[in-house]
Amino acid sequence: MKIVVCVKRVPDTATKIKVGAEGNVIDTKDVEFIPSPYDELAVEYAVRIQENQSDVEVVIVTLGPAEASTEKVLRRCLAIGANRAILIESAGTDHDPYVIASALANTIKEESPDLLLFGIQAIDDDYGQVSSITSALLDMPLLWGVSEPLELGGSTVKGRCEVDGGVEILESSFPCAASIKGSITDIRMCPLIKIRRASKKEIKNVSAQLEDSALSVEKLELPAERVGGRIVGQGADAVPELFRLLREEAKVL
Amino acid sequence: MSGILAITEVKDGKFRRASLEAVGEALRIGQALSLEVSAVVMGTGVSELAGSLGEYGVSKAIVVEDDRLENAYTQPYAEAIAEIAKSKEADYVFFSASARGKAISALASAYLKTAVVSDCVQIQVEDGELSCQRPVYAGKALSVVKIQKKPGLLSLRPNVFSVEKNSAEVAVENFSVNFSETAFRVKVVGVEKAKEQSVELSEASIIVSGGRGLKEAANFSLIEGLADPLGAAVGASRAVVDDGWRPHKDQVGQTGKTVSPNLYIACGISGAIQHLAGMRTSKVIVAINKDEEAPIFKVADYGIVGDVFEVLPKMTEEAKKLAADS
Ligand SMILES: Cc1cc2nc3c(=O)[nH]c(=O)nc-3n(C[C@H](O)[C@H](O)[C@H](O)COP(=O)(O)OP(=O)(O)OC[C@H]3O[C@@H](n4cnc5c(N)ncnc54)[C@H](O)[C@@H]3O)c2cc1C
Ligand SMILES: Nc1ncnc2c1ncn2[C@@H]1O[C@H](COP(=O)(O)O)[C@@H](O)[C@H]1O
Repeated sequence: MKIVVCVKRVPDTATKIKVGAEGNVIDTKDVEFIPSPYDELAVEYAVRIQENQSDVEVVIVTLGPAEASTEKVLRRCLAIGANRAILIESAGTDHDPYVIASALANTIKEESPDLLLFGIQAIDDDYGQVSSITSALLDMPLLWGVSEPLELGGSTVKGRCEVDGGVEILESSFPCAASIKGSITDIRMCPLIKIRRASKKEIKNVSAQLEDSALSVEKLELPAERVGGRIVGQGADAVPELFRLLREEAKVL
Repeated sequence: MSGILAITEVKDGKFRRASLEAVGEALRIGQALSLEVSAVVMGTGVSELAGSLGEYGVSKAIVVEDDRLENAYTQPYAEAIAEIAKSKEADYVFFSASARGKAISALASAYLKTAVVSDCVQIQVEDGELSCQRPVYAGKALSVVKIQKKPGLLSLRPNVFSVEKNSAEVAVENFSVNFSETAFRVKVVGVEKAKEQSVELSEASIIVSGGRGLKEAANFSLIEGLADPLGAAVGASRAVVDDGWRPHKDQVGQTGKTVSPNLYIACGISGAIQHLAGMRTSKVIVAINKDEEAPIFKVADYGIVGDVFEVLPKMTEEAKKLAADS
């Protein structure tokens, strides 16, 4: 079985966002990049499938700039246990989801994966679409927001997906794609030996075919800082006054 | 023809509120752009429901009534939407950014060779074009997006846009879709309703959230105790989700849910940047923390410096009084 995992390079979650000089993208100076957390979970999950089953190859695909920080993100995925990686080179990652997905689909088509994994959403642009568009372009069924390990069996797959208000149990034909949510597995520590081994694994660079943009980001703004409010008081004695304020001043109760 | 489509979602024989918000906003934009708005209603046994959309000011409904939609997943809905959008030459298609709305809109966008402006929190008309505001980096920044390809697809963050009552006569058009051969290759074979949480986190108007300050899983009964009389949903910080006290679906933050309720009550939560990212757009924030230096107080409108084990029972008492009065 071949598993392809799509991984995006994103700013570390602790990054304080600054708007770049262009006005519509962030200033990436001093930004640490990491694999988008849901994508990293997808890699970890793919590697667990590999550990429990013979003959599983895990391939990482990313679209992003050919820079040291992107390579670092790929090496991290290889250290988790993926076999090899493909970097689709593009100057940035700030494309709209259709542009990203069509470039990914072009490359993934040649790999013909049995299982194609994504994060449910990239934590930079928060679009939550690339999984759907890529799998549609590849004509693969997609289970969106899988929250527990899949039941893989022959020509069908069962998945459990969180939706608003509950869990849906889905059955799909196989090969298929899935986007992964936070609870599917956990991240393990990477032993040094795996990190060392990862430095020798193959990263293939290919060039991106980019479609015309469907969306354009005109401006990036920082939200108005919340001005800290007031401390109503200390301990349980402050509670009646808090409720009065919530009712009469804030009018939310 | 041109116009705007507003996609409704039906659950348990009723329109989901979030999708009615999308309908409301579509009507507002339709008026500004002089475009006709058609609500799209899809499913099994939904024809009758379509008539009731008049209550929300809808005068035209397109109905896809098909037995095969009974336990269908996202693909046939997305195919139906793409086909309707093409046949009506729609200018815009409005969705709710619920979990299902996000999955369906993105698939539909693939069939229409475009992308969705997902999770919009504000839509303005400028020179006959839409200028859409959406949070990025989990709300640490706001991005203003314009649409370059028609039809323009938008999904609207639940709880941000209003539903207005109105009255209109609804003209219903039945639309039959040529589903592809693979449309039904994924089936919903079962549903497990969340029992412990009757109010859905992403749509709740009040959220009571707990963090590591609660000390152990069992003490979350204090959070539930307060949430109950307030009709609130229960949220959690990642620290307590990682410790297995609460399921991941309750996690608020950059790698959990992004919420914007009217009232967010953070109890025993320090206010790490990743947590703030998920709740900073709440209208009113209340923090209960015993450390007056906790960063959560920097974003809170009202704070109480105190021990959750003393403050929460007193709050529950007040909330019960309030519930009894109303
Ligand atoms: C990649 C990444 C992604 C992340 N994503 C998220 C996310 O989505 N959501 C999220 O929440 N976090 C996320 N985090 C984790 C985040 O950095 C914090 O570790 C986490 O939010 C802390 O949770 P907490 O506030 O419950 O715990 P702590 O930081 O331990 O804070 C506990 C607080 O409780 C107070 N307290 C203790 N006892 C009492 C008492 N008796 N009464 C009142 N107050 C008391 C303390 O003063 C303290 O402020 C992420 C981190 C990383 C690295
Ligand atoms: N540039 C990219 N390279 C590789 N995978 C990506 C890229 N952008 C998005 N993805 C994948 O698609 C998922 C959803 O992204 P998004 O639609 O941007 O929220 C991510 O979690 C990744 O798995």
